[in-house]
Parts: sequence; structure tokens; C-alpha cells
Amino acid sequence: MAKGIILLADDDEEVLAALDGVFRSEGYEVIVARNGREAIARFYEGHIDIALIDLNMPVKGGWETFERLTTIHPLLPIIVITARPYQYPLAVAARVGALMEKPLDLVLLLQAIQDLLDEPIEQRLSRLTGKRTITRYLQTPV
Amino acid sequence: MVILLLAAIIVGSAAVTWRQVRSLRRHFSSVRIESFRIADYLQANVLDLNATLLQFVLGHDPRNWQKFLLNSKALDLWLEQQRPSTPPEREDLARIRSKLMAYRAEARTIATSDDDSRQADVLAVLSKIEGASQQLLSLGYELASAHRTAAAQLIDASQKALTLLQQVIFTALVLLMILSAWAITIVYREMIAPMRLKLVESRLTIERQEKLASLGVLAAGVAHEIRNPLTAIKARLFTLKKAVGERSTALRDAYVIEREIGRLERIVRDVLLFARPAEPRSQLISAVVLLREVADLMRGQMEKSNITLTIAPSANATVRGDPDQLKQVLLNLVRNAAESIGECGQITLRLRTERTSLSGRPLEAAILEVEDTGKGISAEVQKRLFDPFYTTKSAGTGLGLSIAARIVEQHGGALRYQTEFGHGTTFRIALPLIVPQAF
Repeated sequence: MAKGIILLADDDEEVLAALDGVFRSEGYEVIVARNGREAIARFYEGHIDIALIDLNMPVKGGWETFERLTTIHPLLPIIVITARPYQYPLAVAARVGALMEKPLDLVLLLQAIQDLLDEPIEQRLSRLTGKRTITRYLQTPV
Repeated sequence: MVILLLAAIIVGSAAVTWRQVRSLRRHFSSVRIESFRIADYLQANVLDLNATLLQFVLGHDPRNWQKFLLNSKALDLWLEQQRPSTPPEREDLARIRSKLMAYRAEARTIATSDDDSRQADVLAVLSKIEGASQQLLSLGYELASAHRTAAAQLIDASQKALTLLQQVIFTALVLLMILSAWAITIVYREMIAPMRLKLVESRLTIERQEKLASLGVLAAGVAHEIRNPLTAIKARLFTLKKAVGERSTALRDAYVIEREIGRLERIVRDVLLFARPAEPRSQLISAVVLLREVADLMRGQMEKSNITLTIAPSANATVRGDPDQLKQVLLNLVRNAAESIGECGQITLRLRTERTSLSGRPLEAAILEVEDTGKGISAEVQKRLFDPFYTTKSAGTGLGLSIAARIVEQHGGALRYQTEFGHGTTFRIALPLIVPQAF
């Protein structure tokens, strides 16, 4: 029994394959997508518990994909993973569940995935309605 | 004051010149009148009187006598009206008037004598008239000579006056040039030089901002390209670590790889921070509280190296800034201080206020000091201290101080230092002071 189903969207094949391996080794089921449009198509195909979206993707970019997924399923927890710097203020404005800059701290990321999956429905609602700003900025203390 | 004095001297010189010119003009006028009128007029009139008197003696016509009397009175009246300029001329004129009276008296004697006696000795009468008029004429010549002397004196005086005038004009010109040079110097020093300095500073700031903006774009692009492969490496390493046994040598390799990845991450993060530090989330902060928090954070770490970290007694000061960013700067400075000391030493955090120049303006500032008893900074290192990627440490990106300076700059402040090689260094963060009335 998988701990949850992760939709992983990233245009970098190596990143996609490596992260797929990590999440599977941790007991998650992973559905991969190589761009935003593919991610939305995969989302329509079956049940998704949480989505990890890269920002820099062809065809349909990360923010656009985030917006579309949120419209389809407002309560879907989404973590934005990006190699782009300076994205946190945008993530807060978009009410993203969490933002993590690459290269990812996998321990922290796995913890954040689990936390968001366990997040009570009321907390997700209050984040979406703007009552609470709980966009977590997942940073490794260096 | 000096300008006023010079201006007064120039005005004085102008007044002296004016007076001299007026005096010269007056002298020239008087010389022209005296010289050309008195002597010539006198001579002409005396000769005319002589002729009239002679006509009377020869013709006995009383009209000639009346004419003589009228003309001689008119001459006397005219002489009375003359105002010669020099004393010799005045004396000559007085003598001429007395001789004219004598001449008239002589003429009257001739006129009142009977016709026979006048007729008998016409030659004697003529000789008398001649004698009397000759005296007048010679006095006229004397007067003319006095005029010439006066004219010579006047020319001499004029020469002197002109020389003085030349000197005055030259002096005034020199003073005017000095005054102009002085005024130009003052205007340049007080107005143009500061404006030029500001212009150069602004240009340098703009150039620097443009450079940093380009660097920000470049850094973001490079970071993106480096971070993706690093993510894949890290993820593969994560699964690899899980796959190999705990006692495997491969695990040790994995840790080394992980550490090196961490180093790459730090470099990327520092480059991004240097190129574009996050916008300060500004709020009013107590500077003493900031120092206290940093001291509390670092004290334990310092004690391990026998370094005493203290806060000097300081009055509080309020500044506006991002507490996290300012703390990051202070932590960096304290770490650098500790590295400079090595083992056993003292780090003092201090707060004071002073008036200093920030962004080209004199301002009241809060100065947050980090003073150490370390090795100090050599002159060679000082030249490149704030250069990005310059480091004296074996581990480090060489961006710490550059980032610290950038953060302080973003707060409208300045990061400065004072060092004595072999004795220690003091770094100072100067931030605009917020006075309590302002909020």
C-alpha cells in the first residue's frame, strides 16, 4: 500500500528519474510528467494526493500549471520545486503549500510531503482563502 | 570679509581716479581761459586805448576822450572779473589794475592840460602815453609768462596725475583679477566641486547597480543550470546511501560527495546573495537587542576557542532594517573576528551614535561595532578585502564580506573597518539613526 500518489512534473529527465527513484524508495507511487500540459493530463487520468511542480517547463510553465491544477482541485497540496532563485514572494502570493529551491534537501522535502498529506482540510482551506499564510519556505540550514 | 575689503579698495580707487580726472579737466579749462584771454585781451585793449588817446591828443575830439574813458573802465571791470588760478597770476593782475589806474590818471592829466601846452609838446605827451602803456604791456607780458609757468606746472601735475591714474588703474585691475580668481575659486570649491563629486558618485553607483543587475541575471541563469544537475546527483546519492550497507566504504564516499555538493550549494547561494540580496523586510529594531541576540547565538561557539564575547555598555539606538539580514551581517563579522583570533582572545560588540557621511550626506548614525584582538589585516589583504571571491581562508567562497557590505548598503548604511596589523580589527556597521520623534 503506497503512502500516497505524487504527481512529479519536471522537464529535466535526470531530475525526474532520480526523484522518481527517491520517492518510490520511500514508499510513494509516482506519476511523472515532462511539462505542464502533461501534468494536467495525468491529473485528469487518476487520483493524485500531492503534486510537485518545477517552474521552468516547456509548453506550459510551472505557475500556469499550478493555477490550472488549483482551479481543478483547490484542495490539492502542491509543492513548487525550482532551480530559479527569488521565487518565494511569488509563491506566497499564489498561496502555494511549500516552495523548495533546488538542489533539494530530500529529508526536508519528504517531511514536507508527509506534513502536507497529513494537513487537516481546515488548514488547507484557510490557506486557500488567505486567512493564513502558510507557504513554507523549505531551506537547508547551511 | 576679504571680498568686501577688496571691493572697498576697488571702489576707493575708482573714486580717487574720478577725482583726479575731474581736477585735471578743471585745470585744463582754467588754463585755456586764462592763457588765451587775459594776456591777449589786455594787450589788444591797451593798444586800442593808446590809439584812442593818441587820436584825442591829435584831434582834440572829446568823443575820443569819452571813448577812451569808456574803454578803460570796461577794461578795468573786465580785469576785476578775472579769477586766475595761481598766486603769481593773481599778483600780476593786481599790479596790472594798479598800473591801469596810473595809466588812466596820466591820460586824465594829458586831457585836462590846455590845448596849447598839449600841442607844444606832442612828442612829450606821446612819450608819456607810451611810457604808461609800456608798463601795462610789460605787465601783460609778465602775466602771459605767469600763465606759461602755470601751464608748465599744470602739465607737470597732469603728468604726475596721469602716472597716478595709471597706477590706480593697474592696481584696480590686479585687485579685480585677484577678486575674480578668489570668487571663481570659492564658487568652484563650494558649489561646482561638490556637484561634480556627487555626479561622479551617482555615475559610479549607477554603473555599479547596472553591473550588479547584469550579474543578478547571469547568476540566476547559472544557478538554474547548476542546480538541476545537483538535484539529480543529490537524489541519486540519497538512494545510493540507502542501497549500500552502513559499513561499506561506498557510504564514506557518499558522505564526501554529499559534503562537496553542500559546498557547491553554498557557492551558488552566496553568488545569488551577492548578485541580488533579498529585499530587506524593514522594521524598527533596537540595535542593542540585535547585538545581544548575536552575542547569545555565538557565545557558546566562541567559548570552545577560549574567545570571550562581550557587549560593551552602550546606550540604545533605534534603526530601521531587516533583523534577519542585519543579524546575518553581524554573525559573519563575529565569525571572521573569531577566525582572525584563532585561540584565546576577546571580541567586543559595541553600539554608539555619531554623525557620519552616509550615501554622500552627513547623517546621525548608529554604529554597531565588532572589535577583535586578532591578527589584524595586512595592507595587501586590505586592498582586496571587499572583492568578491577573494578569501584568505581554506574553506569559503570569499563572498561573505561582499554580501555583508551589499546588505548594509541596501539598508542605506555603510560597512567600514579599522585595523592594526598584529593587534586587531574593528568592523563598523553604520546605519541611519531613527530618532524617537520620527515614529
